[in-house]
Amino acid sequence: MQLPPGITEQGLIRQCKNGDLKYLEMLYKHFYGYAMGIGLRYSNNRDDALEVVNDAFIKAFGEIKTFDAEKPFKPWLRRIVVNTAIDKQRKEKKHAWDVDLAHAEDIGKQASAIEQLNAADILKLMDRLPQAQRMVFNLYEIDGYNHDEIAAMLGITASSSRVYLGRAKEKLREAIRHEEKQQ
Amino acid sequence: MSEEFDKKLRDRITNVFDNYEGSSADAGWALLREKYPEKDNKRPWAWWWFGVAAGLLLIAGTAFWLTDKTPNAAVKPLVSAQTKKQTDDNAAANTITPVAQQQTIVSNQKSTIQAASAVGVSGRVTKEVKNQTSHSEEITQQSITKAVANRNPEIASQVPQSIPVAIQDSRNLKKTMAVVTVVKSNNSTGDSSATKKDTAAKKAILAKTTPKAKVKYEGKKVFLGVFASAYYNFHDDFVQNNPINVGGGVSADIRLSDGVKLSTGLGVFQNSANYYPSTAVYQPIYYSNYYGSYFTAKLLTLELPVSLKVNITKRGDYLAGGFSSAAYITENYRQTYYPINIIVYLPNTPNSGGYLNYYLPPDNITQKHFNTLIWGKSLDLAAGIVYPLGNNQIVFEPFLKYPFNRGNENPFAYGSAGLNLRFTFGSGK
Repeated sequence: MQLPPGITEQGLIRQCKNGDLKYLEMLYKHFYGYAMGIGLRYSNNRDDALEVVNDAFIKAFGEIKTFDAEKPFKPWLRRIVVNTAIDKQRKEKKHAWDVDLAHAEDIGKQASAIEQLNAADILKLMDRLPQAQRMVFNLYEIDGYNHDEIAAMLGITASSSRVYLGRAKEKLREAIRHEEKQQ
Repeated sequence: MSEEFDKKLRDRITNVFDNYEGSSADAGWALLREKYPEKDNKRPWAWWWFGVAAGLLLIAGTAFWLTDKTPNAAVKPLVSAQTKKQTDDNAAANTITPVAQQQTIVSNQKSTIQAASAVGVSGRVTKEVKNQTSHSEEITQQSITKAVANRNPEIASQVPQSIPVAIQDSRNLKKTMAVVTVVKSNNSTGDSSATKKDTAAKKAILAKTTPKAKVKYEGKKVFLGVFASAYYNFHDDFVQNNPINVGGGVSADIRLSDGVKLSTGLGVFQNSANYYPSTAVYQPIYYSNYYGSYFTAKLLTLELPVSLKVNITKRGDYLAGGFSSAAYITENYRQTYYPINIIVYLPNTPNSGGYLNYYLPPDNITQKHFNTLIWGKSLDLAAGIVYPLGNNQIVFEPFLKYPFNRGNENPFAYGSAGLNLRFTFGSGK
């Protein structure tokens, strides 16, 4: 959702610091897509992703008074969404750390080239990764955390994080090549 | 080779999800609103203090009310002590004690009591007592005739000049007060000087007894009552189709001085209003498309008013000013959206085909229970028009409550204007 004319992100965040619901709603809808994009990468389905996103926004609303409105909002929100997704996984004990990757199923006819992958194709690819590998791949490759940070966040060792990342990337390559050959 | 592949994949994923456009933001917001804002349970101390304040007020009011009944009882032991002392000192005092005792028996009728000293003190006390059956407890002594022939100056000197006696009769006979006076005299019955002294004594007694009755009336410091209210709520923003609200509770007026009372109490009030925010009404959803919203608030409050009442007429009409604090028992707010341009385009709907659609967010509903407590919520102004009803009062009291705290701290900072109907016990004249 685009912001109304005359309202900037900084101005909107300043208004949100007062706790006014209508501005919080505007902030939510403005950053919903961005947050959902992160939540989907870490979740097994859309409902889980929405739950992660909403929990993350509730945390953000609670902490927004401490947020410096002059700094970019997206990186701050990204950290909250990622941490919320990890917390959710930890609570639900859905980690399947030892499950290996099966062959990816059909990704989509148009996914013959990486450049043509859309969100649904990428999520299908990721759905085939064990949860631990999926999270490490997202944290390292997309969200920019290093292995020590990932180890601390997931409660694993840094070397395990490297192993999970290597396996995840290998499986993704294999899946995409498999699709290319089929075309 | 692998690194290049990985880089392309990473860039593609980043590009796709950083620019991800969710189409279900409204549904997501509706789900979020089920959890947010969370119930605020961080202020139990405030509720505790409010309860303590209300409890203390009730206890203090009850205590004052009960102590109002003590003047009668306070006199009785005094008389008993005096008569007992006289009994012990001299048998002459016995001439008084039986009189008081007989009064409690005779009570409802006028009585004439004669007593004579057993030790040679010849005295005759004739007294008429009128039983008082009303709360005003006005004392009328129809006649006091007395002659005491004191043959024993030593004993006579120990007899008090005047002994006021108040007798509180049984429940059936209500209250009876009497005054018995013994005037010593050195002369025998029929002495002219004694008659003069009797007349002077009568005047002195009447002068003393009349103020006592008045003191008893004025000694009442707390007047309890009940009230009912009907009123409109008003708001800073435009208000439309507001219903009449009602409330009620108990009150206590504490007399501070003549014509000035401190009034307090506890009441439950219903408040509701439909209002249109004067600021930020029009929020664009997308460029050139607008919608507005209005609020409906329904509240139930427990209010603790404190005000000063100053009498402005002899009848007791008054002006009052003070403030009210409120604990919100329930709060229900609903924000309803409505289109300004009537037709609003959906963001991804092609306009070329002429397909138009409405888009409005769902209602925002906020419900809270025992969540808000505001000390000094409103400035209260009132004028009371008093009508005595027996020993009680009925008061018609137009009032205005103007809100102190407005803005973010109190989202529905409403005022109210209306009429209180008060019934105050035991404050009539």
